Amino acid sequence: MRTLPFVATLAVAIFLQIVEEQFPFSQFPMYSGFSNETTVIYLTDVNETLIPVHPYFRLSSAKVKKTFNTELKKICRQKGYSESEATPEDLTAAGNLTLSHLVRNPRDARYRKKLDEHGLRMHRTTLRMNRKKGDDHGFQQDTVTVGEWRK
Amino acid sequence: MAQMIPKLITYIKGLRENVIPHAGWEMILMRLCMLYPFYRAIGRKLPNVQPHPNGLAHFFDLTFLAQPAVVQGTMILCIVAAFFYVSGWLMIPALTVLSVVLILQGTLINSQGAINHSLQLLTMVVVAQWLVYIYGAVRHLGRHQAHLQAVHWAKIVIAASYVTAAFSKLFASSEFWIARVPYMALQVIKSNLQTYYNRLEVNPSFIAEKFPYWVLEFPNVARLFFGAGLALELFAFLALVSRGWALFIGISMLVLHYTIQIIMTLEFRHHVYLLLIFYVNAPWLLYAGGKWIADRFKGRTVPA
Repeated sequence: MRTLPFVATLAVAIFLQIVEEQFPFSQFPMYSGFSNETTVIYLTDVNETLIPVHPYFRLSSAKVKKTFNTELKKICRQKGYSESEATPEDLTAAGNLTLSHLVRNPRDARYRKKLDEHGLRMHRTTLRMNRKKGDDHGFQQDTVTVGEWRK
Repeated sequence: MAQMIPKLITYIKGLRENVIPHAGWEMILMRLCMLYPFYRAIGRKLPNVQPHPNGLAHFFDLTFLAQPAVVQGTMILCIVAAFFYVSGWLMIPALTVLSVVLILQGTLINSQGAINHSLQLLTMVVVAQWLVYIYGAVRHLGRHQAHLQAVHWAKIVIAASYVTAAFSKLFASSEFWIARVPYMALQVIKSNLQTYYNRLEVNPSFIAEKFPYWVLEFPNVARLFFGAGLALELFAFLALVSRGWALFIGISMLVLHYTIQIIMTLEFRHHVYLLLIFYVNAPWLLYAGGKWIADRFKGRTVPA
């Protein structure tokens, strides 16, 4: 024991790797993998006017994306495949579910009214990077609508 | 130069974990400083649903915590517990309250479908200290010894959280993490877009506009820069060697968090508070700095 220093730190670190994400334990996996593809979620009303996420819902766009991904993972798991194989219907189902959570908790009555009048749409932009020289470092993006809510 | 290498190897081989003999007043100030993260963590607005249970929420419905009467009762309990925590008396009941509240509230917050990593470290530190005092009571450790062990275990948990973050980076993908650093450019673009969608405000900074392309123009410089961050996480346990090492690791980690905050617009406030309290040990640093200056002036008094 004396010849193995820092054993408690190592034991706690390994324990956290095993338990994974069960609060209060965590592997702290932020930016543990850099993929050549990532996604961004944004919101508009049904007239395609951008909606700022924070003033409306006291949430960040990143948090809305995490919720969408959790819903998508759940839907795909129920169907027996991974979220990378999600169909457009799965994406829409996950988007609609996420919107249903969002519209339950707008910041206040003013935003509630705006949502009731103009509805809410969710879009997902996929950003890709193909590291070939020349064509703007190979950045590409495409956007699809993944959910809609109307009163 | 050649003579220095064996000396350095001998020094590295001799590095051991040590329980730093903090003074009683120093530990009281550390516990006093913990009030701020407690206030930030426990005073949060709680959601009244748990659509995606995490941890204990798999077994219990924790939405009752968001009821106004429960929120008020929790706050009163926590204020009393925090008072005893700072005083160093009745540590087991005080930490029982703080641990249970942080675990339950954090679990509810993390049961919304989006895992948030702001509360885990603070909660783990409090739980570790709670277990230390229980162990201390069972083994009849003296009060001062128990406080020393509680501070030491807070440092262990902080170090372990960084070491495990490094493990996550090293073992998450088949390709070496550093090799994929240029793809970070995409993450920076994503972070900037997400920040824009939060409030529809454009960020015209160098980081937002130029940094992703800089990473791609100079991938090896970027690898060196971010590789240093990975090494720092992996060797965070060196903070357990001495006050000096704790200060060095603490300040380096603060720089790392500040860099992440600028590049990724990602804040780790509780990590920063805990580093300032237990590694940088700001109260002791102020005292030691003041004493050093006083000693310098003492020798320069004009003789009568």
